[in-house]
Amino acid sequence: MDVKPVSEAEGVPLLLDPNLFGLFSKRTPADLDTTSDNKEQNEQQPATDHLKPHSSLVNNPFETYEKTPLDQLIPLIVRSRGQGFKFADLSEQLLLNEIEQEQERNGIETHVSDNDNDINKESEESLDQNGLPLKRSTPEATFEANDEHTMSLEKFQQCKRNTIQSLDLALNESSLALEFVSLMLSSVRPSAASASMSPYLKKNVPAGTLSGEKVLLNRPSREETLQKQVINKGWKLRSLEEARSLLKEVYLESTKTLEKERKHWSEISHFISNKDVVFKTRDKDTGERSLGFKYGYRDSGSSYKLDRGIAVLKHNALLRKLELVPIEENAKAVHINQKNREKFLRVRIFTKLQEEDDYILTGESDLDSLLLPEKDEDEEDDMRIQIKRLKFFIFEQELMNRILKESEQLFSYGVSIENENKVVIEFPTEKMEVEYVQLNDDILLNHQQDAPKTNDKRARLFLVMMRLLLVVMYKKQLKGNILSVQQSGAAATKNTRSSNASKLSEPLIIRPILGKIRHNSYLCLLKKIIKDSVLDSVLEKDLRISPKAKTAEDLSASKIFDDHISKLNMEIYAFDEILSVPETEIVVDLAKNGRLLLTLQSPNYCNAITTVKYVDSSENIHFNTRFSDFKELEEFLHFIVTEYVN
Amino acid sequence: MSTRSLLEQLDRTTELLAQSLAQIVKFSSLSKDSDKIEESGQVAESVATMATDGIVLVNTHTSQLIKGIQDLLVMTRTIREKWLLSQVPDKKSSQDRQIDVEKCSKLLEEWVSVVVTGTSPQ
Amino acid sequence: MPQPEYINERLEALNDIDKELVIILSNASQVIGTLAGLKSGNEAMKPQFESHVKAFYSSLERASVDLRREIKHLDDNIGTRLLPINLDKKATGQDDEKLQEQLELLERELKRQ
Repeated sequence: MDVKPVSEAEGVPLLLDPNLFGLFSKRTPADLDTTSDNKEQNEQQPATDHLKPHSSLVNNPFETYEKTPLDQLIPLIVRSRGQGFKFADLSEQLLLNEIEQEQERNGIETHVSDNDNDINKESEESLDQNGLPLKRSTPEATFEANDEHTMSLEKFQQCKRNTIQSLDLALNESSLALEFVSLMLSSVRPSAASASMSPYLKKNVPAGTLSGEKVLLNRPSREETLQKQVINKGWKLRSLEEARSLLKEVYLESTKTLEKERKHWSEISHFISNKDVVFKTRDKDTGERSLGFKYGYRDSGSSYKLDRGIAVLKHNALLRKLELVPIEENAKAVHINQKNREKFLRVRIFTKLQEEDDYILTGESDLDSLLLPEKDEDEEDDMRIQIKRLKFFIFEQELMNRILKESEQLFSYGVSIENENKVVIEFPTEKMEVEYVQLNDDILLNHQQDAPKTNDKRARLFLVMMRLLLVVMYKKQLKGNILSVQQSGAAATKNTRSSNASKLSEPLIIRPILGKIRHNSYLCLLKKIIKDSVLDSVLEKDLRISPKAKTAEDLSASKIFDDHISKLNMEIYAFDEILSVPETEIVVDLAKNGRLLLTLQSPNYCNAITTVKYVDSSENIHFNTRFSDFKELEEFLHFIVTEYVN
Repeated sequence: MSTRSLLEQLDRTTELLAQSLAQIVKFSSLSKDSDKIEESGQVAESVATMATDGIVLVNTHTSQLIKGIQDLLVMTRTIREKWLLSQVPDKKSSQDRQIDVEKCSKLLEEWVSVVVTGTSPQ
Repeated sequence: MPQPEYINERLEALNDIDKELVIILSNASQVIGTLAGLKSGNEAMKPQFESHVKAFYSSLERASVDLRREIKHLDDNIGTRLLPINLDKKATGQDDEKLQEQLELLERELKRQ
């Protein structure tokens, strides 16, 4: 190989090495000046410096300076060009100019120099493409020596091209050969091989991959295939077996679950009716899906907002039964357990002891039958009872709440709020206590032992009436809701609705009852006054007392087409007896002296206003005077009697 | 869920259930063919691949079967809930509760006489 | 409080469907079990296998048909027996309940003694 002279330590100057291109292209033209010098130097000092001895026939600057490192070469160039020269100023144009000048100066040697020049240029070109110029220069030189003057330029060019082509080819082949050998070597001596490998090869082909290892392809033997078949079959059978047992397991499990579920649903289907509102919800404590039960009166006219009246159905594992557990929404109401909500209203009547400032208990409302411990209950009834109790307690809760609210305004009529669980209504001879009591074992126990008292019935009736009046409030609210929806249509604004609602929810529970009682005592007082002042002169049978006749105008006046409204009206009207403002007319027949008409009204249920008219024998009405003070009334009656009757 | 989508789901699930079992059966009969191929030496499945492939296939279809049945069970429950939880309340019974106004008034009068007269000073 | 007859019928039918559905699982298990038997060379299991497959598909068919019928029932009753979807049920009528109860109590109390 021609590349052999190159020392191994320096490495093989491969065509692919880009460093070389730059090095030579810069160096070659610069060498032109020193061509002859170098030649001489080469001949005289074959082994100086890094310049290799060679026997080339042409001046080849590449050979001369081939191994000169750039850091030595550049100063050399700079030095050769004399003082004041900067390497940076060196340009191609400058060099070309210099070459021209040189040619002009050495006129005789033109041709040779031309050739030299060309060769140099060509070597430059060939270097650009292939690198090593060594091989090429030899035939050229020979050719030059022999046919220097006989060859035309054209032919020369032709030869040159051919030469370059062959050179390129050879260079390429040798490079490939080198790569191949390096790669082959790399499996044995990786470091040595990698030194001669091109960066491209190193990057793309792993070292040692060109080793001649032999891979055996074993065709499976008869036993092996058989074994595989067996294994395959085994796995399949196994997976089938697994599937079978899985399905079986799920089947058994599902059967169990199903039975449980069936029982659960049949229980539920037995205790709920189609009127109950049961809905799917999540148990807040456990996060499980569960059923919610709405027991509050919200949808039935209640506007009570402190308790929504919703319970969650839970399975009590301890008692093995279903339980409805109310959802606690009000953070303020801290109930330690469910039992704490079990409060009910109790009415007690205390009678004043004569000539003593003390009261004795003479009557007490009894426990609702619902609160008494049930004896033997079956499961379905148990749920029903649970629901009833929940409804009962929430109703009582609201009732107490309403009573408290109402009582705030009844202070001047003898109603006082003792505490948030107790309201006391005082009358001249007795007092009534409405108390919100926690249901506990003591109460349940004592209840059975209590001896009946004289006013028990009245206490019970009092309690029943309060409850009825709360229901009537619901009815009014429902009516109001329907009317407000009808009036404002679909576009019912919330404002009108709520204002309507608040107006309707004005509590009327204690007031009508209290009014009835007060009215009655006013009436007694009035009768006494009349007796004292008038009946001395007339007979008692001439005194006629009649409560104001009920008017059915509520029902007849407005034509009602809505079934709901008419039903509600009917129901509200049914309580007119209690809810209408009390009014009583008293007619005192004074025989030939005409008659006395007195009307006792109780506006606001609790006040008393008496209107007095005197009709004389000739049906002339004298006076039509209203009194709110009985003392004045008494005096006025005296006046009439003395003036007209006697 | 609307009844339409329930029907769609039912159809889908029934189809899936029918398919699942068929697939499992098919898998086991297909295996004969694959045995033959192996005999000819063309298929060189590793033991591990055979095992996993088989198990995955059977498992997939088995769980599909189970899931399908469970879906249908959920569906029956949905229907059950519908029946129990969203029944329209009977109107009849609420109309039966029309109160007797006359009787009510009488009771109230009676109430007044008992409660009120009891408080009047003797 | 028992449900109306019609509702009970529906619930009963749904229970039966549930049972049928679970039986499908059992059928499938048996099919695969006999299939494994067949695969391990027990040709005698073939009739058994076939009958299990038959059972599987007939159970599936029955359950599917019955369930379809139940969905139909459901559809038929929305708006009559059942509330339309997206309509919240209201707990109405509790006022009447209480009114009735307390009036009865009132009557009873007044008659007492």
